[in-house]
Formats: sequence, structure tokens, C-alpha cells
Amino acid sequence: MNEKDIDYIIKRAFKDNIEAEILHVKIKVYEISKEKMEQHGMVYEEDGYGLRIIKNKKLGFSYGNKISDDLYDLAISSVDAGKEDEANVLSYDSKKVKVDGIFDENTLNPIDNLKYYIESLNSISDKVNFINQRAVAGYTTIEVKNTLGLDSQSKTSFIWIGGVANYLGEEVGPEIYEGESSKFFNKINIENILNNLILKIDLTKKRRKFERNNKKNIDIIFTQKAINELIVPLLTSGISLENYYRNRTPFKLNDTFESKISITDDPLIPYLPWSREIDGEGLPSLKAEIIKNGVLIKYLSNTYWSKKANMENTHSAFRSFNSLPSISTSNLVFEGKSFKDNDAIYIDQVQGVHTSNFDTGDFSVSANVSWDKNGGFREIIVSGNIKDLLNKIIGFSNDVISYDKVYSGKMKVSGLSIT
Amino acid sequence: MIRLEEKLNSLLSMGADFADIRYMKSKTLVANSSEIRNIISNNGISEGYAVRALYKGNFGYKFTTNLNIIDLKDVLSLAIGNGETNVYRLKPKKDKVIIKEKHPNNKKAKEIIEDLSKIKEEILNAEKRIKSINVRYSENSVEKFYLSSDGRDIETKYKISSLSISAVARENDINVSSHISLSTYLGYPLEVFDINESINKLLNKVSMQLKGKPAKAGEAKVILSPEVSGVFAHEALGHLAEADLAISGILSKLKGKKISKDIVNVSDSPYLDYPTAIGITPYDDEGVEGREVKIIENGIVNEFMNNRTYALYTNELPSGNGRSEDFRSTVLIRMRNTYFKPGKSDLYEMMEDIKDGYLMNSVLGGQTSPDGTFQFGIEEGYKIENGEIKYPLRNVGIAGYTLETLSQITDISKDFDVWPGICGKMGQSVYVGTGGPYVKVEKIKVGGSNE
Repeated sequence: MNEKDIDYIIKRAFKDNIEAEILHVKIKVYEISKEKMEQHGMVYEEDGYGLRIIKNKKLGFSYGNKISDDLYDLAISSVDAGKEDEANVLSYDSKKVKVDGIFDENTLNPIDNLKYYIESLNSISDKVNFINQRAVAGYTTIEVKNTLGLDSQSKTSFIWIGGVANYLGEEVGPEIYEGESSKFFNKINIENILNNLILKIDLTKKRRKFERNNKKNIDIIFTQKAINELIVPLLTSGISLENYYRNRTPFKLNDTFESKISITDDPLIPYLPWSREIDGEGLPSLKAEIIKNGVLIKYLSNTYWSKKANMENTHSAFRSFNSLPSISTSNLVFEGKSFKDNDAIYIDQVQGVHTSNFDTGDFSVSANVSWDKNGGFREIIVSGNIKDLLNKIIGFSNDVISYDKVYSGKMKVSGLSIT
Repeated sequence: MIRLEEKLNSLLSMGADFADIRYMKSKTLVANSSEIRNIISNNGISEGYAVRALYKGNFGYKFTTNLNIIDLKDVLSLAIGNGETNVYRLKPKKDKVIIKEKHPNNKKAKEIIEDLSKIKEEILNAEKRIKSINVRYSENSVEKFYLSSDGRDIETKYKISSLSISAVARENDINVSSHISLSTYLGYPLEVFDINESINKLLNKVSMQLKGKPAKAGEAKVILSPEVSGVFAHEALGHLAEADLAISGILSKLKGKKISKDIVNVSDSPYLDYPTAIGITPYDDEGVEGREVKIIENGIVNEFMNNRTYALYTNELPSGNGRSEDFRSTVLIRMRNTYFKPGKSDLYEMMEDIKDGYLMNSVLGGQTSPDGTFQFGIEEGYKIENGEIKYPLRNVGIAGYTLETLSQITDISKDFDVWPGICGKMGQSVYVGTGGPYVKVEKIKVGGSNE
């Protein structure tokens, strides 16, 4: 930490009658990776500083790996490019939030743990064709100080254990991505990862072409992984207050969904991968109910957009040291009716989500890992709109798990366009 | 550089069989003008080192912003694996490549924002249905040094500048969005490209999509435009021909075999003489000079892209495709400029015998898997009936199997163009170019409405 340097810049800004905020990020990551022909271990360490200043209601920004007068001068030089804006303000909140289970001491020196997980993954290499195996662990310390007196710090750990594998025989199966992210090593269930890999490789050994058989409505069950891949990106964009304010979302306030679904952004749940004590502006994390019993009641926001739209700040700022705060989700909790009938097409992975139209919510994705009771499918395209999808949710299974940003059961949906 | 050499020599004396050090400095400026605000959203410098050693058959890596605090013993202790990793050794070479801009940007941030604001106003004034707009300029000046224990001493400097515009328009209940991206290694995009032509293209895309109708889901005869065929070359074929993926995918078994007509030729090159070919890579991040990789030559699977490790494994010459996003990242096999080579036909002749099909003109992006499935979102597309373009489409995608699609190519036009892009792989993003002519495919899956 360079406390003196950070304080020096804050004091200099005070003297110049400028509002200033410094975000200091310190990160250390360890990784062991194994491909067919390349194995490595690595460690990455970096200190970074982002300096945001506001002068005469104009915004300036700079970043670098060192904190110095140069960083300050660079930020000042960018102020003139902006325009005056009442919403250009820094924020202050004296409240401190404590979240359990966000830092595992074992991530300080995780190499032996990482070796264990790579060996565990390797134990099934006679059953699946591994494209790569990765075990990653590390920690981040975030510190935010500003001229309003904000002084926040938080330390979080992160762990990712997983592999990419396929079936390689007469036919070539799709890449199966299987893994778990967590903040604590003891929350990683390696048996689940191995079993899922073996199961899905088996399901995709032989695949058949999808045929509609004149059936009008085909039910789909999205696994938690598929919810994370398809629904989370579209939802994250759709429930951003910036996008609402700028007409770049299909979601309107008080939109109703027949499914009566509830979606909550909750960074306060202990041990979940995206839990945090502070957001990217150093403000205490908050739980935000976005859709409650089928009614959209709130958007996620940061300081700028809450001021601009005159709506609640949900403290959802997301950033690294080299960027200004944007708005993003943490852990998304999905709740609704439950379903019992498992007769449906299961979709576990989709590709092409980034080709969706995030402004309108329209998507057309290939479900490259999908199956029904008779086995795997060779190719299915699912098309639709995120709002329509949320409307058509039949319910959720009872096996609630955490998968990256998703905390949910499997999601059953009826009536999407399938080719 | 002396300090770097000392580090390399120390690693060798400690038992490393090979070692290299990469230094990368990246100076970035990003300016945005939207209907709401003008801001500098990114402005700074990031620099650091990647130290790598091959020790007992495994790589140990350390990435840091401060070379002085590296304990080289750590680098060796991180060389973890089953001892099967090796690298292709090169002949010693010292070189310095500076890619010079023809139109360097001398403007201050304020002047750049003024340029962006003018573009924004022009678009908003021309099309009142546009409700939201982003005009974004970015420049990334990169300096790299590479030093290896086999005597490679390479310095490269280049700058990639980009102007991108995205607009959302609304009419009644229909929302559409359109994008254009102008990226180049030749300097300030507003001086390298005809911005008025690009604005007109964007406005046309908006207008066509607002008029557009959904495509009928199913298989159809399709012509892919140069932009779409370029993305096909990159996404559907190129990724399958990256050696690390090829050995677990469909292409490795097909090397030397014919998979399409003679007219099909697809390559990946370190340099193309087009301002938008931003995959320009004279030397890769392992000090390898780039060469053309002829992935498909006259319809035959010919060779794969590699890095130093996979060059040994696949018994091919190093191709110069070992790239990393920044000093924080490992070297992966990545494409540079990937393209279909042009043929001899004319677009209108290619459309003549299409009674019921589509012209896919621009893409939102795409993705592929080693089993050969691909999926693209189409931004601008048209229905073809009886050899003529009838009406525009909205919300359409194409998908299929790369091998089936390549075998269904029946004609290729003489046109050729290159589009700039950013490619993601294992969390790393690099600049790439994608190029091609009009390509006619007899049968491809079109995603749209089941109605």
C-alpha cells in the first residue's frame, strides 16, 4: 500500500479545490494450467491506481501502475474534454458492511491446493479428452479514498477450478466447459465437476439432429450454467439504469411477467462468488430486488446514473483501476414457481450470446450442449427475446446451486422458437 | 536490455533449458460522445514484464510491473506439469519494427471529443428515429521488447486507433440497433477513412432493419457478403485451425484431405495491405517472424496456426501466431488477419439462380466449437427471390457445421475487403482482421421465426 502517496494526491486535490477519488487495486493470482502440449504454473502481481477527478462539474480520469504527480496531471488534462454535468459527483457513505466468507487465507499461498485439483481433474483423463485443465486462485485488495472523506477497503479471494473437454472418437463432440468458482477452497466440489464432465461427454458422444415432429410448444430446461451464459448477460444489460435512461433496454419500470418470477441482485450472501462488501465506488454493498413477484421494480445503478435518472443508487458500480465505474450485477438470485415434470430439452451450454442485440433483448443462439431423455442433440438454435423468455418461465427445480453469477434451480421455459 | 539479459542468463544458470522475457507498455486513450455526455473514459499507461522459463519440461511464468522484485527461483518453482512441454528453438535475430502511421493523430482529447460530437449530431439530425447513440474513439500505443535465450532480440512499436458508432432506433414497437467500426494501424480514423460513407452505411442499416421482416427458420441458399465470409473464415474455420484446438477438433484428421471445391482458399496472414487489417503482427510475442498460414489451399486442409510449442508437436514451421493480450497474459495461439481468397465471379451472376434465399450482409459476431458448430448473429440481411433482393431482414442468425458449409460453397466473387475486429479466447482479447469476397453457400441453417 502506498498510503502516503494516495493521501498526498487527495491533499493536492483539496488544495486545488478539486474533487478527487483514488481507487487502488492490488491483485495476486496463481494458476496451474495443463493442455496437451503445454503445462505451466504462473503468478501475476499488479498494483494499479485509477484517479477520478471532478473540476467545475467536469469529469477527468487517468490510471497507471504508479501513483504520482504525473497521474494527477494526466487526469487534469482530460477534464477539458468533458462537459459540465450536475451528475458528476463523488459519493460518500459512512456505513460499513461486513460479509462473511469472502476471503480465504488459503489463497495467499495456494499452489499445493491448485496441484491437488489439477491431479483430481487428471484422474478422469482416460474417460474424456481434455482440451485444458485450469486451477486458479488469488486475492484482490481494493481501497477507495476520496476528498469527501470516503475511506473504504476490502479484501476478497477468488478460486476457479475447471476443465474444457470433449469426446474425441469417430465423432468429435462439442467443448464441455465444466468448473466451479468460489471464494473458499472448501466450497469447491471437485466430485461434481468430474461427474458432470463424464456425464456430458457421454451425452454428446452420439448426437442426433433436432426435429420438431409438428409439436407446437417444446419445453426447455436451462441448467444453471445455461442461465449464466444466456440470461445473465442479457439481463445485466437490460436492468442497468444507464440503459433504461438511454432507451437501450427492452425492460420498462413496472413491466409485468406472467411467470411471477423474482430476481434479486444480492452481493451480501456469504461465500457466493460475486459477494462483496463494497462496490467499485467504495460504497457499502446493498441487496436489490429487481423483479419482485413478476413486476420490475428497480434498475441497478451507480452514483452517476442514479443522480442522472433521479433514482435510487443500488451501489452496483463495477470497475477495475483502469476504467470508470460502470453498472453490473453481483449474485443473481432467481425464484419462482417450482416444476416437477422433467420431460423437456435440457440446454446446458449456448454459443453466440455476444451476437445478441442487447438493446432490444433479441437473441439467436446455438445450444451446442443439449439433450432430452433420448440423448444428445447435434444442433439446436434457440431464438427469442429476453422479456419474452422471462414471461414464459414455467418454474424452477428445487436443486438450487451457485454457478458463477447465478444462484438458482434449473429454469423451465415453454414456447421459445427452436430450430 | 542488459538487465533483461542478466535475468535470462541467471535463469539458464539455475537450470532452465530456455527462457524469455517480454516487456509491454500500452498507452491508452478512450473518448466517448453519447446523447447524454462526453467523457474520457480511459486514459493511462500500463507496463510490465512476463518472465518465462522452461524447466524440467514445464513452463514457469511470472508477470509483474516491477522486474526488480522478481525472485527467479519462484519462476522455476512454478514450472509445474508432467514434463512434456518444449519450445521450437529459433536462429538468433535482432530486429526493430516500427509500424508508421500515415495520418498520426496530433489532436488533444478536447479536439477529439469535438470531432466525435460532430459525428453524433450529424447522425441524430439525419435520422430522428435514433434515440440513443455512442460514438467512441480509442487509441492504443504499444511498445514491446522480446528477448530469449535462443538469441531473439525483437522490438516492435505500433498503434491501433478505432472509431466505432452504435445507434439504437425506435419506431412504434420496433427497436433496432446498428454498429460500424473503423479500426486501423494507419492513424486517426477520421483521416484514414471516409467518415461520411460510414455514416451513410450506419443510417442505411438502421433504416433497413426498421423495415425488416423476420426470416423463416430453416435451411436456405445463402450468399455471405465479404464482411460475413470474413467472420466465417475467422470464427467457423480459423479457430478450428489453431493448433491447440485443432488437435482436439475435426480438422486434425482431415489434414491433406479435400473438404471443399478448388475455389476455396483460406489463409491467415501477419500483414495485408488494407488499412483495416489490424491483426498486423510482424513478430509474434515469442519473437517469431510472421508467415502466411494456408489453412485451406484449393479445397484441401493444408496446415495449422501454431506457437513455438505446438510447432514442435505438429511438426510444422513456427507461424508467428503466438500472441498475448498484454504482459499479464500467457502466450496463446491466436489468429491475425484471416480471410477467404477472392474468386472470379460477379455478385449479381451469383444471385441469378437463387429463387428463394438470403444475402447476409453484416454480422453482430460469431462463435464456434471444436466439433465444428458455428453460430453468427446477422445485423443486416436481405431476402432474395428469383435472383433479386426483395426486402430486408431483422433478428436473424445463421448456424451450422463448418465442414458441411465448406462443402456447400459453390461460388466465390472477385470482390475482397477486410474488416477489423477483436477476438476473445480464454479471457484474452487481441486485434484481428477478417476478410473475404461474396461466398455462395447452397444450404445453411437460418435462425428466425418458426411461424
